[in-house]
Amino acid sequence: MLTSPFLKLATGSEQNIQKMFQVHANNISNATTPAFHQDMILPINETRTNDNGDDITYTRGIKTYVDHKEGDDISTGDPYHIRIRGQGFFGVQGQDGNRYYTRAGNFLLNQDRNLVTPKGDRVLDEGGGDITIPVTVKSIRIHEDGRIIADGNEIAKVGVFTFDDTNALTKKEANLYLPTENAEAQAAQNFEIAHGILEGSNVSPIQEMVALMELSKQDQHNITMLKDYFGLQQRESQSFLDPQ
Amino acid sequence: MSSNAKIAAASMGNQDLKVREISNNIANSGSTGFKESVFFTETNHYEDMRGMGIHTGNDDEIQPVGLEIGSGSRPSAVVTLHKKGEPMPTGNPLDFMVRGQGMFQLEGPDGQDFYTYAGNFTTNANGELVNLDGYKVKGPITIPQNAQEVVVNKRGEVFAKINGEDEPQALGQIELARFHNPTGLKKQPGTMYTSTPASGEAILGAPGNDGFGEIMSHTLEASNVNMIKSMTDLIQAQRAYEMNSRVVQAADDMEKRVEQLGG
Repeated sequence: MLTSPFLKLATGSEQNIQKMFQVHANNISNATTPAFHQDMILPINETRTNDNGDDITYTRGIKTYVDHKEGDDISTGDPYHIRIRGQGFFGVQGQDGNRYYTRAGNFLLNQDRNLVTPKGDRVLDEGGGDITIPVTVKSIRIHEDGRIIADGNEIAKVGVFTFDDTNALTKKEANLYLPTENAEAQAAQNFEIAHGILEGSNVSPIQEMVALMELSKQDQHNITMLKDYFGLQQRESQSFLDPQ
Repeated sequence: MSSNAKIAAASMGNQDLKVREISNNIANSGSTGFKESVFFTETNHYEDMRGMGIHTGNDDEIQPVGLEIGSGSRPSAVVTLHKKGEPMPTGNPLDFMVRGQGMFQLEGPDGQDFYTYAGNFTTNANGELVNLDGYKVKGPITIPQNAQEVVVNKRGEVFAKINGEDEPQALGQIELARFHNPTGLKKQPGTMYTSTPASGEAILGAPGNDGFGEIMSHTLEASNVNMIKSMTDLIQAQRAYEMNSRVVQAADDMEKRVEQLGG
């Protein structure tokens, strides 16, 4: 009985609902995380014809992808807070040796005066090197093209990188993306750097809540179906044990 | 509690911390020299479920597809924004503001160093220039009891006009401190800061030199809190809190339904 196609379908569906729920819960959780780009769900639907000749469409599984729509401006006025308008990612040297990418530009200086992420990972210049702000600097400006001007002199250029296929980036913790092995980072062209401003999260909490409520309904239906199924099964076995 | 409920419950905790930070900013929007702090979150780890694969129409075939699911957010950093506040004229000769990166240096009761943008000073029983907590301003500067008028110029040089004397008496110079990385300073009660390895050691200098900034007397630096933005942020954080509490509820309901199925 447990291998019944219906049961497989309904329990599989329940697993998918749980996964989809987590995707939405994660988006809502990151609705105020700088430059968070929301995860989108792509259901893998399948239609089968049952014994009665009816077509039944159900969700066999889900895929996720990232919606790279830009987030709104968050103005902070901090000299080391920058955002990218347009395409591209900042480069970050991970402490594990990997090179990561991020849109979140809430950077600061470490004790060596390197530009770093809040986690302490170094932000890369256009050549992949560290960015160091000299001790003597009194004023910092970051140009639209990423050039860092300290007291009138260019000291570095913030690296902005892009990939042929942004799907080659996988999401990691701490607002980072890790490219797949074959993905090649290139210098981005179509971008502007804004200074004293951060990119906000692109999650619409309202839309996410609506999606969650829909999922909740779907879950109720699914569970009701499973209950009916189990009830039916129980009655069947009962009638088998106590024949009239 | 299900994993989904845990994600949302942790987010409620994050938003709670955020609300506290914003409330503290709002509460200090009238505090001289106060700098607002911003609470940041970051993504928690992502689970790559690609390896698990997904069944395709053909039951024996498992196709690997992109499926990465995040596990919410977590606190990342609280950053103090050292943006200058607006000058506020007060008419008081012992109210000061630095027009640059410089901070006033204070000496705590046990001799520790403190730094502040709040230049609302007064004199103690010994005539020493102190802040409202009684911490001595470096100099130090001692104002004689018989001083009629105190004048501080933009280079921080303090003069007192003494009764019966023609020339004003030079009392010393207020020395300022600045830091390689002010963001690394640690906030202390009373709008004061202490240095940390991240901020680096204080660089000392005279007002008006090397980016320290000149001193303006009869003026205080207002807090740099933007009330309207803070109120908007507060509402946003409270909404986010509420939404996450609804997610906890929905996740719990879902878990209960599955449990009832088993019973």
